[in-house]
Amino acid sequence: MTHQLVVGSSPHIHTPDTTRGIMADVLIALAPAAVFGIIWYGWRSAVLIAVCVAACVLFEVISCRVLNHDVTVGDLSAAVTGLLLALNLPSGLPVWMAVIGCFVAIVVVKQMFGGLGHNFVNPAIAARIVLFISFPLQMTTFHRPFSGVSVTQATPLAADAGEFTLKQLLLGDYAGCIGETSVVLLGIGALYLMIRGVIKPVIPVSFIGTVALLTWLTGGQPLVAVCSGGLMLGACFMATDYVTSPVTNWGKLIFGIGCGIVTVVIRSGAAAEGVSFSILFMNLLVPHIDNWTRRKPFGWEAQKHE
Amino acid sequence: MSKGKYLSYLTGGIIKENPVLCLLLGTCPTLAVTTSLMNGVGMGVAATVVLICSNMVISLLRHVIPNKVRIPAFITIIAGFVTIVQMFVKAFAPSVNNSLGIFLPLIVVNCIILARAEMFACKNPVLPSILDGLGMGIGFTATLAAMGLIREIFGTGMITLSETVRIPLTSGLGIEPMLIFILPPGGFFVFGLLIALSNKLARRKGKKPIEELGCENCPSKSVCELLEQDKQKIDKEQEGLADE
Amino acid sequence: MSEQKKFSINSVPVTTLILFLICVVITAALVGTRVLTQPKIDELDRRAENEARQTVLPADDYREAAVTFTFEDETVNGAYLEALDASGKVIGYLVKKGYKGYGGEIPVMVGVRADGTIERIKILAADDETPGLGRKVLEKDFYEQYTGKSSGVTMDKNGTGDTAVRSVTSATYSSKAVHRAVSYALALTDAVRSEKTDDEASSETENAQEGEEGTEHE
Repeated sequence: MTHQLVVGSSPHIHTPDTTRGIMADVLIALAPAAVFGIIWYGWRSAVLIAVCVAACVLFEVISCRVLNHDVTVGDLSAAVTGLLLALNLPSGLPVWMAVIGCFVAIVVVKQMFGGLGHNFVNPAIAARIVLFISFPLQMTTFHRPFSGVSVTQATPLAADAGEFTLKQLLLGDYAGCIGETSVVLLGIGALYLMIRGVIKPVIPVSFIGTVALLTWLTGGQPLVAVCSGGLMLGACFMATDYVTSPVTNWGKLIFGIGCGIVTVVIRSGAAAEGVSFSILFMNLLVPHIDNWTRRKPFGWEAQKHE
Repeated sequence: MSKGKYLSYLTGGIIKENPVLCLLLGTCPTLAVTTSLMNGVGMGVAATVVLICSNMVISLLRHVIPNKVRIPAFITIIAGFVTIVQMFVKAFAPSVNNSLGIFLPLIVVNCIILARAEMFACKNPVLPSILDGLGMGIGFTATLAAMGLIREIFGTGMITLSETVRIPLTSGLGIEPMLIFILPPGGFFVFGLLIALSNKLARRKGKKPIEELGCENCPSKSVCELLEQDKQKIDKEQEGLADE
Repeated sequence: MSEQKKFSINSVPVTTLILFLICVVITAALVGTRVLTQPKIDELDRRAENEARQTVLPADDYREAAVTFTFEDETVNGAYLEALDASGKVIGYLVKKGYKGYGGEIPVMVGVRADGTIERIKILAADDETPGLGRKVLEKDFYEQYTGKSSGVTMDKNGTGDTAVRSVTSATYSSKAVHRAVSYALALTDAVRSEKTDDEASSETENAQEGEEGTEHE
């Protein structure tokens, strides 16, 4: 016999994925957009990214110690949260505000509820929303690319923003948060993750597709809607977070469509932050979605109701 | 009764059975009104006055009010006192009236007042009822003050003691206050933190954390009418069994 | 709360009577309190109103008036207050107007001097505006810009020049609501003042004619 029979309980077949490996893939996927943000918006972006990653890692270590969990920093999840949060911030945001955001993301949303796998909403999204509500002025002041700090510019979603060319929209030649503008680079990163099997295309496609369809149906410009407001970043990297999205494909579809609908509704009312609030809202519905789309166990027959 | 028992009526409402943090009553005004220290204190004082007066009157009338109509009677009495307090506040402290707005008349449906009337005042003599009202009121006011102080400091960066007296804490430091604290989400955050803190303190003092839900762990166990009825039923059953 | 007595306290007539008695007593208490406190409340209201007026445009007396004029292409009948000095001469006008900002209405009181320039404006309330953004219209830096301005004042992002004011950054709706109210007040007072100058002009021509006749006789 050439094989040895292993006597033990299941599972007997392992994939080589580790949390650390998956997180490393996400970091790689986000790298092009991050580098672009640094080049486009200046050294401030690099500072924010570095500070966010460092602060998230630090907070994770401290809170794990205080709450008597094992320190799980090695799995890189804190670093990913830090990078995602940084990419969601305007380049001119004061550093101490970003640190507060990291605190909210890691300590409040993640560790206080039990650590990785137990957070009930996406930490980076929650932190972004807290910062947006707390410091509305600083979080809505965007700087024109290559301009240093002093000039501010309206984002394409603002009512009086003017015309943008296709090239501008796709490449990201407009004012926005550090990582949300370059649709092309984000798309490349998302493709990488899909190829590596880290994320399934269901959520990004259904989310972005719903936004495009609804915007077109209500007389807006679908391309502008898709390329701005952090939709690419949110749909590909934050809505797809394992912990806070449904398990089954049908569930993911419902989730993505729901996010799209809520985003369009919010954008038609308040014209800003549609993506982040919609992801937060749908995160809260995920347990229910999982209930509705529960897969029947193999060989299970429907019980007759009496 | 011993002096200790009277004192325990008073202190029970402040720490052990704090209406907001332990009994989780009166959450609505707690969240809405604690956007500043003085708002919280104003509400607390007004509610305390109503609580003491209504407890006193309901206790005086406890043998007179028929059981079937006790809730309407309680509400009428409470509403009467709230309106009286509201008129006095409008006349002598108009700034409090302006900042509390509609939450002043809403004291009528503040759960704390109705709950204490139902669970304590209608079953106990006047002096304990007054003390209970005072204790609960102090606990309520203290909690509101603490929440209001925290939310105001983090949310506005200064403490406003009145229209003219303001203590700016962060001006000149280049720090912006975090607006979320004076908005509803911030209210929930601070509330949750305070409850967690008070649970932690209670644990230190030896009180075990609540493992299961149910009557055994309810802080109002001692005054709960339903529990009384259950006990009576069980006693009757046992008597019935013993007779056989 | 204990066993039912023989003469049932829970019967309909008894419960009704007791509730009725409770209501009577409470009503009496409320009436008494009202008698005690109502004069004080009225006094406070009067004082608050007067204080607001005095802050915006100090005067010895105020007189109510109204004028019909055109604003934003509509004919409006607007109420206003004339501010008078001790001798009864009109020294200015007070106009109170509110427009919807971002969350709700923002009432503004505008004090205009007799020459058409603004003495001061006061934002009376901005409770429904966003704290940190729209609420900033309550800050001195914003509303003091209007002092000294007159008809034709415009609003933009920078506020350069003598005839422009700067809006609050990222709070366009709230700022515009205030600006609209001020423009309304200025249009109203312009109408009042042009009526006055018409009156004065016609009485001046009468005086001038008399004067000419007078000099001819010299």
